[in-house]
Amino acid sequence: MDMSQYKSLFLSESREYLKTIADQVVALEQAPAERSAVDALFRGAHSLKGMAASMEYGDVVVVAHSMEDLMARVRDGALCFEAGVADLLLEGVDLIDVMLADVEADRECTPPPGDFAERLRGYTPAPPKKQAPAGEPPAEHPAPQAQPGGEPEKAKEPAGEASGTVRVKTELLDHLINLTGELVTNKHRLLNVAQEVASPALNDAVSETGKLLRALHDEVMKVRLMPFEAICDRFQRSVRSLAKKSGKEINFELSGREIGMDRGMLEQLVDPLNHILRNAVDHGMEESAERAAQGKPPRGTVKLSVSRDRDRISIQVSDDGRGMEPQKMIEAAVAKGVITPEEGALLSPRQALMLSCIPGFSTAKVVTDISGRGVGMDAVNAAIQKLGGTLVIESEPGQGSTFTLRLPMTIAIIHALVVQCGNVKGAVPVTGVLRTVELARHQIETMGKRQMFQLDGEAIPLLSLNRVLGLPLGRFPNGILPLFVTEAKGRRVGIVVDRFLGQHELFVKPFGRPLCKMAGLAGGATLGDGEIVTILDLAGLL
Amino acid sequence: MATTVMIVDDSLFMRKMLRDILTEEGYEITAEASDGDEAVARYRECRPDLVTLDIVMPNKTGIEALQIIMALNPQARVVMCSAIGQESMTEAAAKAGAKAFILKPFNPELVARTLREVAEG
Repeated sequence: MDMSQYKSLFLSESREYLKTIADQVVALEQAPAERSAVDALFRGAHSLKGMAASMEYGDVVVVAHSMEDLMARVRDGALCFEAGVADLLLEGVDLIDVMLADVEADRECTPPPGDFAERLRGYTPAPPKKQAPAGEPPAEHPAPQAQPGGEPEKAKEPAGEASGTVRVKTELLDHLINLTGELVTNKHRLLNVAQEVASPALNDAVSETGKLLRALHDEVMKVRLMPFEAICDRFQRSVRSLAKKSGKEINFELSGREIGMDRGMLEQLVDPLNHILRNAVDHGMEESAERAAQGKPPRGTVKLSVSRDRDRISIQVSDDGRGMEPQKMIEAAVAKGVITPEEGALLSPRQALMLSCIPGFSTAKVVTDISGRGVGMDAVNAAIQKLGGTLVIESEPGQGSTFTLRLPMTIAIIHALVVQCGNVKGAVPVTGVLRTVELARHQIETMGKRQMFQLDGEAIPLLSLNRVLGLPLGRFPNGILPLFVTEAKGRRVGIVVDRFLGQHELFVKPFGRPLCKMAGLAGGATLGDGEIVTILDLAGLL
Repeated sequence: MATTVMIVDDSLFMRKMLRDILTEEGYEITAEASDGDEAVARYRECRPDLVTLDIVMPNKTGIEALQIIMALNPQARVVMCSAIGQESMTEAAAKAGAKAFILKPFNPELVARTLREVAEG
């Protein structure tokens, strides 16, 4: 029998089983007596073994078989599910993962370390600690786990081939969104023509086309959605291994895994989220003893929750660790020379927390000693802004911190404020605009070298977008300066432009070389009249 | 008329392999199921001539599903699929009325011969 025809099915199903195994390991660590998870884990290893044996991938069989045997001992009550078992199983998952990559690339399989099977076979639990947590049976007397007759809860199984679904190549989805985007641009062209022609019949047709396009756009976006779950397991794994490395006890709670997001965006969220989680575990969370001394539960909790609010996605990472103190953040930033003492005095607590996102702040040693939050947060913030999103940090000293990311559902078609500066038309995603203001000249105050204006009782510095872009400064003959307020380096800034050209729906296309190398440009789009606008990346510009 | 078969296995890969082997041999695959509950439900619906039944599955094991199928139809012809190391299971399956066993990984000739023998009774 020619088995090569089954290779791609083998690979995709094996990977689903690996994911199930990794998920169940993490689940069992939270609830070691969960019978359905034990069964699902055993079945996962068993099925992997069977498939690999059919394909004659001997090394995969050896690893999967020893995992299956180890789980059989847990299932039969000979062994408690504990950290040592979890480690071995996850090691097995990693080994098989590498072997599958070899199979996929038609390379010779990386053989598993010779002692892996031996270690699983000979595994005995470490002697129980003196104070076993209440409610958990000590390792040498495992509680009888079998509950015959009890209806086991449905454990998560690989989806298999559901009826009524088809698999399509991702490029096809990219083409679809491209075409939809072009249609949106063309609709605006038609709208312009319709205005000139002033024909009611044409207006009707164009407005109907607009409605249909919106529906098409929604449907195409839905097709591109993938559940957040697709990237979840990486976070579970990394939190777990970090906690282990730093010797901290951490509960990791995940909610909203079913929420759908654009697949392009999901991929770009992995690194930033990993970064925030790593900071939470490494620096945000105290050691168990320190927590106990403060009357907190010894086991810390890190939560990752995803929710959807109409057309926005909100992702929150929160911990119940030591939190951050705004005043210390300001002192550190001043010490590092990132801001002046005067600037520091003007910052609100929330703005002070955002200091961690300023490049250069992160490397300050003094900060690492205080809270350690600075590491790479500038990169995280930049990545989120690039996706058209925003980051807000909240923290209560002694109680913990919360990082909230708000993101659009899609990155391809955006709503943007189009502005004119000199002879350049630029677009700023509305997600980055806090508000627009038309300022009379007499409202401008000069403080030292800087020009400021008052908004909601706060002095906000002014910056000319013309100056940033190296264009001649605007004149403003009627004495009114149009500006929009945005957030940069944790502070609100007023960006003065020559003119507002209104809010537009834009289909963003990435620039090719060499334009893509320029900082501050996020891409380009075509307006309805055929004119090209540059999408400005404010984080990169300011 | 071709002999009808229902294939039960939680792995899509295994179902596909069996389907290919049996179709080649002229059987008609009238149903597939991926767990014990589904196997029982599909058996009620289409009463196939033969069933291949995996043992390790979610939502009722193959043995539990077998017991219910045999209760529904004491004449049911069920072939269990098992892996090496499941000898204790095969004993329980034989007691519950399984007609034969095929071993994973599947050997196409052996699978074909076993099913032919069971079909011819």
